[in-house]
Amino acid sequence: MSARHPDTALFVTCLVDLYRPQVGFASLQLLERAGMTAEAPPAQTCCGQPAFNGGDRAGAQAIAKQVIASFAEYAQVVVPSGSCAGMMRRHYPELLAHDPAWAARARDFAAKVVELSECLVQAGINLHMAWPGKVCFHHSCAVLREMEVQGQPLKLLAQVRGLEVTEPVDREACCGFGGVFSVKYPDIAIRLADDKLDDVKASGAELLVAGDLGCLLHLAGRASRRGDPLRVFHLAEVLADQLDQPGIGEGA
Amino acid sequence: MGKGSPRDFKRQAGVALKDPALRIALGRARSGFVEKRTQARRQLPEFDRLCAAATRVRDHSIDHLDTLLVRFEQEVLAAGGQVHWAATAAEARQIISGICSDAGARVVAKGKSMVGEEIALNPALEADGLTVVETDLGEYIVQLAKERPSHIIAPAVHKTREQVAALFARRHEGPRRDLSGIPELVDEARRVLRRAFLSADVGITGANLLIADTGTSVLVTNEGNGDLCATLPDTHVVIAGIDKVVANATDAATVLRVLARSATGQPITAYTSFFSGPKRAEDLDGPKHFHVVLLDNGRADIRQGRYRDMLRCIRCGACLNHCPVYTAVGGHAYGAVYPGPMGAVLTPLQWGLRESRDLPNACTLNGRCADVCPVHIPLPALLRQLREDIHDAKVEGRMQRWLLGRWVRLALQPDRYRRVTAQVAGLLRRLAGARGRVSRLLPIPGWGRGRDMPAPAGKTFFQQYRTPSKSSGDRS
Amino acid sequence: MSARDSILAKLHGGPPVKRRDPPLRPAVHGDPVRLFVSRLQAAAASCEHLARLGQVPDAVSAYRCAHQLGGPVAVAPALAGLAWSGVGPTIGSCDENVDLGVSLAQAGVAETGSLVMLSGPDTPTRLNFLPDHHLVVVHTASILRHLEDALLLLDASLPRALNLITGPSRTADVEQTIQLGAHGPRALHVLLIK
Repeated sequence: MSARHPDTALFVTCLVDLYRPQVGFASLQLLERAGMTAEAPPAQTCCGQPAFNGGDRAGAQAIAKQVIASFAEYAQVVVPSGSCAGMMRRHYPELLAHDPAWAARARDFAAKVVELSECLVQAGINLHMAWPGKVCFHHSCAVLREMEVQGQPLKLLAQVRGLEVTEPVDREACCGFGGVFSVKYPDIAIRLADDKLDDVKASGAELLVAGDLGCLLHLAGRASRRGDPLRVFHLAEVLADQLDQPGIGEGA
Repeated sequence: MGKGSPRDFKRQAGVALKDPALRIALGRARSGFVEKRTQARRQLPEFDRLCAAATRVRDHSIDHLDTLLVRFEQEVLAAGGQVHWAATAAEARQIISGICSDAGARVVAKGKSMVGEEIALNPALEADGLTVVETDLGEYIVQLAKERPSHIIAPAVHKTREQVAALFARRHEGPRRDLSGIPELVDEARRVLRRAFLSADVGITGANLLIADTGTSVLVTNEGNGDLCATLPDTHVVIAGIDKVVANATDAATVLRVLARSATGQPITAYTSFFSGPKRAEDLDGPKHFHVVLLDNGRADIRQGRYRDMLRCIRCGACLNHCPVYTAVGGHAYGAVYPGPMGAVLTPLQWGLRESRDLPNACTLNGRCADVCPVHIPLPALLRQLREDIHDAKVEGRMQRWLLGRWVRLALQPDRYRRVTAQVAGLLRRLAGARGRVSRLLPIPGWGRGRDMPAPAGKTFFQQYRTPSKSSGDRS
Repeated sequence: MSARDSILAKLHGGPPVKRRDPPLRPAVHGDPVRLFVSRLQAAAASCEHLARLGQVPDAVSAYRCAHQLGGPVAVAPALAGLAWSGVGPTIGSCDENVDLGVSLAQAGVAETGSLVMLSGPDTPTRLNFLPDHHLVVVHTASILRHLEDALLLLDASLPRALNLITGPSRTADVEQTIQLGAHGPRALHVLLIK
């Protein structure tokens, strides 16, 4: 392990922590391979999206302050999720804009936040891996629109020799996850998942990959209920060459 | 015309999702509208800059509504027309009812107007004994079906041609005839509605814009029905929200350039008409009387608060067409005059938070609506603000409030959070067993009906993780 | 307080400000007449070039022949001076029995392919909307580049109605399928005069 003081922090995200820890470890591995010294500060919990999107502004502000404080000493905060990264980069500054003690800190913090694929492309990572197969990449809405990360995931996937990469026909369409939305309005969420999965099926891909675990849990949960023979992975797992492991929702 | 209520959004959405004809109709509309707008944008290199310009035009209007409206009024009066101000929907209905009665009207031909829907004009005029005929084909279809428009620019978007054919066969007189194709349906409506135009004493239209400098009402249509309403009857009444005014013709042109492209993908609609007063003394045709009814109905209040950006809306419908929720459940599920993202903002502001609390929540915050809005209304941010208002007013569901409060408290205590998440992960893994997913006995209500819950792949990340710098001792 | 006063009282907006941003217009490349024609055709109108205004009655006769129209024709008073004896139209506005209306556009807009129709004693508005077939005469010299140029006519003469017409009437209200001839003319034919 490097003796150098890590200057890059991984914000693991609550869903990765709970559901898919290997995405966190894969992210750390990829950051190291891209030449960074990275660690996951243990004081982290959630980025505050449930509170922010649920109308609890005070709760979201409290969580934002905690996150900003616990990542203060890092030069860069990498997030393997477009929606959490968007929360931190786009919404922390506006949440704390009128708090004199925190406004500037929130802006400085936001400038350090980077989504994983964006970070890896910037760092010029070389993957040196091969996987024969066809993958359909789902652009999560937060990655596309809040982070304005457009081509980076596809650029990274293009480095995988033998991998054929497609996108759903309507690449900008939402999969229907939407955090609490998917629990509050399950019937609508499921219809949107079906539309997305039909698109994925039509692409002929056997793998579904995205950069946001929320979308993936929702889509994988629906795919297995439908009986779609689809394997589902987070982008970090693909790039860390872990496709021989069980996919999301697959048994051991 | 009880057409559901925002309060019943969930139930109405559930019914809509089970309607196979609706799914076909909405699927067709979604791909069509999205594709056409994309092409229109591609064909005009200046499109994004024009949207920015239109945004500035609308902001200027909203900033100066008072001077612009007074100027507009002056110019209409100078051209021989009359201007009426209505603070509420009831006042607007009363004014129009009075105009119709002064005109001795029996038949009213209406062009499509969302403000007309907003003030529930038709039932009021019908209660006066008037025959009111909607002349926009889509609006006519929903009038015949005793429904309300399900889309602000395509009122009958929820219907298939077979449904329209069955409706015409049932409601129109005449021998059996072929109504199987769209041309036959359009011809039939043309024949029926032509009679209405010719017999109408009053024509009522909406306005897409009002031009202050010249006292002009601008009307955008493709069918030409609005123009017939504005040309044939002796009296023409324009109803418009006070937000519709712009300073001058240049501003109007700027908005028009992005309006049709955002709505239908057309560079301009077949008819864009500018009405300034009644027929001139020497004119051979046109209405003898010209009225404009300016409706507030909450707009001035919206302007004073933190939803002011919403007043920029030009009612193009792009946010509806690109909304995954709207295109899944259709407009009727919203139970309100204005559906989709713009409606989910306007309805709670006009009808109350408690009544409409589902609408701002029934959104994935995917952001596509804001992306395609030609006047850059930050719709997701406004919907989020409404969620805050709902939270602050304590009108959300009690369970939701309790869960959210618990989650926030937990998130603010990292050590406790670690212990709880470790327990939850263990529980979910045990429920899943070797299958890797939970299909029954789901601990999260609402998830399980149509979805499995993928199980945690192992212990939590932080149960497994040891901070490298901590173990090497150079950070505590 | 009247509704007017109570509404205006809430709307106070401060003094008018000087607008900074220059108006933005899409570029119109090349010959505006060619663009005008291609835009109109894209909107399902047909176009025909004539060398002189005097050829309009013959063009109308040929159109009627080609479309097998035997019904009444109405012509805008602005074109009354032409030799119409072969057509035998009424001059003036029209009623619902007229098959074909002939009117004169004040101008055209290249940017959108729109005809600019002003209401007036010589150019009644009904001709634009009631007949099944609408024939419009426009002088190529009057083709303007941008919408704003056409809307200057509002300020200049303030007609009761200024109609920008871009193609025949249409609807997509049934299944988003475009069908021509909803309420207004089923066909729009433009006669461009050099």
